[in-house]
Amino acid sequence: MSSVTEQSKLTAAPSIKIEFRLNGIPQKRDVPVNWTLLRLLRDDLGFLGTKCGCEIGECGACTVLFDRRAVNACLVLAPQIDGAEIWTIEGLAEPGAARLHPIQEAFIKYGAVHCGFCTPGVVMSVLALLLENKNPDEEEIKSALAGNLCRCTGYKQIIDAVKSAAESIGAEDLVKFGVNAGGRK
Amino acid sequence: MINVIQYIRPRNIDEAIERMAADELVPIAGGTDLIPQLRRGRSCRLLDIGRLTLGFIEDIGDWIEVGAATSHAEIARSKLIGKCLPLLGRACGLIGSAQIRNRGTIGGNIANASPCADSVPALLIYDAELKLLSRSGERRIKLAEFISGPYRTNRRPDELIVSILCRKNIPTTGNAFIKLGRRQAVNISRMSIAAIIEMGADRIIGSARLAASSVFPVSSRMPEVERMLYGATATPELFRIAGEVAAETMVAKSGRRWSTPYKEPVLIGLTERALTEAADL
Amino acid sequence: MSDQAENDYSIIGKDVPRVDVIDKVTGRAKYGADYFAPGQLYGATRYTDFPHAIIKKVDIAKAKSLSGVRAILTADDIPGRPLFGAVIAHQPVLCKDRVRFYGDAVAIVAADTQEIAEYAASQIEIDYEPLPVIDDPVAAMADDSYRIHADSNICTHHKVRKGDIEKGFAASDLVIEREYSTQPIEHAYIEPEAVLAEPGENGGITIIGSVQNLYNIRRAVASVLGFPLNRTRIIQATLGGSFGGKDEVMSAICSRAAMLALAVGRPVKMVNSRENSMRESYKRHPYKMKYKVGVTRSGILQAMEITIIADAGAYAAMSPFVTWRSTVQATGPYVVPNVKTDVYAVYTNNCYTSAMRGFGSPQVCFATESLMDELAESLQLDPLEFRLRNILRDGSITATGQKLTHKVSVGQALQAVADHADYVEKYRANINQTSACKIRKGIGISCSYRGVSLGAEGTDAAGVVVSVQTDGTVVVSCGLVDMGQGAATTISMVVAEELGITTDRIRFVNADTTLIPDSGPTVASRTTIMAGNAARDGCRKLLAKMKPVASTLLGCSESELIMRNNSIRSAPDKSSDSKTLGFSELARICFQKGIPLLSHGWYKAPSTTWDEATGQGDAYFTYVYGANLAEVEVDMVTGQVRVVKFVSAHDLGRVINRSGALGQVYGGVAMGLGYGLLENYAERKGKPALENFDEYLLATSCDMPEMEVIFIENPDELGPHGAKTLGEPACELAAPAIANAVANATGRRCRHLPLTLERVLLGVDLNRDEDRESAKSRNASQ
Repeated sequence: MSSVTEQSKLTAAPSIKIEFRLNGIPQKRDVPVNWTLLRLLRDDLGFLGTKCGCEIGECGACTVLFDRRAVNACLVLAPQIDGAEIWTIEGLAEPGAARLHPIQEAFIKYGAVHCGFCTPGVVMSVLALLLENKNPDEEEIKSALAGNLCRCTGYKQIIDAVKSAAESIGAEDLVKFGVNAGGRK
Repeated sequence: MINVIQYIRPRNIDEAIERMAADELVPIAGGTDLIPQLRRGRSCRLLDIGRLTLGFIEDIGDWIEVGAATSHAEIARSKLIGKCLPLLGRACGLIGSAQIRNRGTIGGNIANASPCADSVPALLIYDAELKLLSRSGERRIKLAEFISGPYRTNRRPDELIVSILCRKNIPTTGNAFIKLGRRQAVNISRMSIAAIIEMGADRIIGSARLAASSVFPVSSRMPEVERMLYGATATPELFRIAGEVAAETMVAKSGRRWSTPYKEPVLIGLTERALTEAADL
Repeated sequence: MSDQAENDYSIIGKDVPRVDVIDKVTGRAKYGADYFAPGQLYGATRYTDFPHAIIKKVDIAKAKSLSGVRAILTADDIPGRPLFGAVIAHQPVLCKDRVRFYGDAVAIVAADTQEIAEYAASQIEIDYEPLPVIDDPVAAMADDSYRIHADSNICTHHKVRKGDIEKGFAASDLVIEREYSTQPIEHAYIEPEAVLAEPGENGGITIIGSVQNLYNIRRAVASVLGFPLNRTRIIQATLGGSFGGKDEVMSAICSRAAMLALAVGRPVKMVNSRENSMRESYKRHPYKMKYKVGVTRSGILQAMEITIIADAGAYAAMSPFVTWRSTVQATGPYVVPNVKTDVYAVYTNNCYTSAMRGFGSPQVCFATESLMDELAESLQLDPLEFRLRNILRDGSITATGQKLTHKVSVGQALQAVADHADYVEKYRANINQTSACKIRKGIGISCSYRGVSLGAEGTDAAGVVVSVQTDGTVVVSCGLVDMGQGAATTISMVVAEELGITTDRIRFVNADTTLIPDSGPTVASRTTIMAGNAARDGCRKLLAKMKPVASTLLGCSESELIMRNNSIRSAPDKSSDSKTLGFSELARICFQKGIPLLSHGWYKAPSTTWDEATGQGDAYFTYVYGANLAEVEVDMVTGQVRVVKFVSAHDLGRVINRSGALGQVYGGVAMGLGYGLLENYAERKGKPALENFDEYLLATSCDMPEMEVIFIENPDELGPHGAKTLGEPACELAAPAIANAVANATGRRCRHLPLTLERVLLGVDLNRDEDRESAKSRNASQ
């Protein structure tokens, strides 16, 4: 728990200017240096699809793409995303889009969604996996999902959905996230 | 609530070194260990090393140099690491979750100096040394000397870990890395063991290296075991005895703790298993 | 295995996507923490610093003077009754003079930011006089134990007295006594508790958030505020999992948020961190269970004497009901002529315990199913054969004297899982593994019977509102809620089937206490059967209004109408004189004719009987049956257990939504696997030994075995289309199957959950003597 012990905590932490791209759109923010990316997304930008479950990087409900890699948004300080490209669940299929992203379609088809609280994070982990490896085997899928806790599904239908998504997904479904990008320097 | 008093992101190493000299700053890279600590009450002035181009893996002759800000994921997927430092690649591939491996860095894993850090036993096998930089210049120190205790290091407050160097050509016939956790993934390591064996067709061991975490107060090599293996013929009995020597050494160095009744037989068994796998018996 | 009626259904038994699934995959679904209101303040709770203490003084002056603090409330500020509790109203919303567990709250704060609220909470000064911490329920039962409440520490004592156990033991060739224990379990819904309370119109209060049982919570909040029910409005946000967990703890949190909102006249949001969630939310009861059992040489059970002590923690909550189910089911699904069962729930200063998926069954399933294997081993019978000799059959009499009048399929389920995995052969082969083998294989089975819905616990009725709009789309709402288990979909499917429309025409609206009558709690896996029947009732009432109109328009009798796929026909397709009418057209015409197409379906469960003194009676109106099989590999060097294969067979009456039903089973196995191997909400001297998911270990994707599911469909005359129950049975049987498999592999039995590395390797658990606080603070201070 955040045991706050100093009066200084009441005065807002200093802010810093950052620029980044969120779901492909350039953003400029002035953000307190003690905010996490999770808090920036939820409390400032209103991107509520990214969920808060543990704040210590164990549950994966806040998983987003940070320069094409899955990260826990609770373990990234907002100032650290300066210059970065962030994708959240809201970026997969924009409101009003004619169709959902193939990963989302597969999750629906295979009953991979129960309470849904872990779902956005799981979908982002799957997206990161498929950006790196278009033909993952079962072990690779399980390993990619190990950082996303799900209390409802027992993971089986999620894994089935990932296998199906891997088959149906095309380069056009991945290109906007940057398909062949290597790691960030 | 994260307790960050100040956040500085220098554009280059020189600027970083200057800032480190001027203020008491804690370097942050991936933050996977540090941010939970900041949330739990630790408060810091942070120096973000994210822009210092410290994410690299390079072959520099007898050594492989790994930048301090290289993520576990990059190390695990690096072909160069896989070829020259396979134990390090495997160890980093078993750290936390994919999300943690994408953010967490080798430098951070070392600086946090947790007795159960997964990368350390592998690094120790490869004679890892650290390159530290401060205004007074570069300092090179053996990893084994750098970690001074549980969660303690010999880093001076003005020093920045720049890279980790691992010896490339350690004679190896076979190797093994075993991590034990309570579940099948995303574990705080209960114990991990890294082993290398070099031997001829006659199975006479020319050299052996063994290191463990969560066994001693600080992850370390096991010279007592390595010595007894030297020149011996690799047999199941030998490795069983090696396990017993490892366990005796653990009790001698760490004392008897709550977990000793468990760790004693497990260290015997896993040492035996690691050596057996490395020797391909 | 489904019966011939399957082909008659157009919706039931099919794979239907969850009705809320698009919102959930796109991140648009709104959970409690996703609600914001203009001008909202942030609430924080000041918990006690001691698990058991007298509160001597609470000083809020310093905290109140901080800038940005808008209100600080203590027990003195409670407008209505300070205590809540559905069974025993003795749990304080805020403690006045005494704290009884480490999650008790003393004060609450509303402030401009979360940081200020938390900081101010930490600055409230509380003087305590520590009291002895009673952390062992057995010790707490002693007459001279320190009393946690005014009366005895024994919260509940349930009994079963059947036959004469002494005669039964005398008739036995073998009598064995065993003790088993289980650990406290955290629900670990991935969504921590979150509410937004707003002062409502007309002086009321509106609360939206992560609530499982709206009506219990509304009663608690109204009572705390001194409000009538009709000014206390609770709206359920999309729930991020609950598993029985978002009930009493939400009564407390909703009450606190409401008090703050009314005190400041502004919306107040309270969202728990994971640490606070674990600290204050109730757990599944840890049980200590003693079984003495007698059996003849030929393997026929003669008598069971059972003593169970459940740790209720600091408050009663649902303990009286949870332990009642354990009492009914304590013998397992076996014919036992002589039974003496005593089940106690006992107060301690541990975290309080209440409903969690299984509701008193996972504990006794672990004990009875371990015991059956131990008996079989003693008799040198294989555990399948031994079980089958004693299993409940059609017409059998249960331990509570109930004659089973429906199809009793537990033997069928057991045989199904055993056949599926060659149980008998593998069981024998595994016993003969050499001791040199470092990775040993094991196989284990388990089975259960489970009373459906609430049984003799209390009023068992539920309502569903079905409203046909003028365009033929339908709004359905229900007092039983979807917490992720898929109730919204299941109920929508029942409505779709009845009205002959497709599920895309139906919109399921989350429950709202002002709109739907009290349907009791969404517990006991009662939703499908209770709400399903209520939905059918509602639809029939609608059809009674719609069919006369349709028959007039189509010129046929009502009995000739075929309603299917959004249209109404007068005769089968092929006949030449078939006329059709769209469902939407019919709805429009009904509206024009002034016929209201709104109905309220209601279902009241058949009555049950129970004699408190003897524990005899028809405890539940029907039962479900299931069996599990686990195959494991045990690392004999480390004690690590890997579950490699799992087979579940469940008779659920009828499958409504196949994909949803499969999901319930897979998820139940995962939770049961965690119960068996990983999870333990450990407490030391009344303080939690862990606080987040780094140490409370849930099964990950990598821990899950290959899973197979066998659905047995014996439609029950009382269920909607024969459907009964699945959510809890799916979860209660995994741990004993795994424990039996581990014993099969290692030759050594673990009688205590979870099967940690240490227990499997050494036979005992090890406790860290160094407390975690010092370890973590050392970590943080470097």
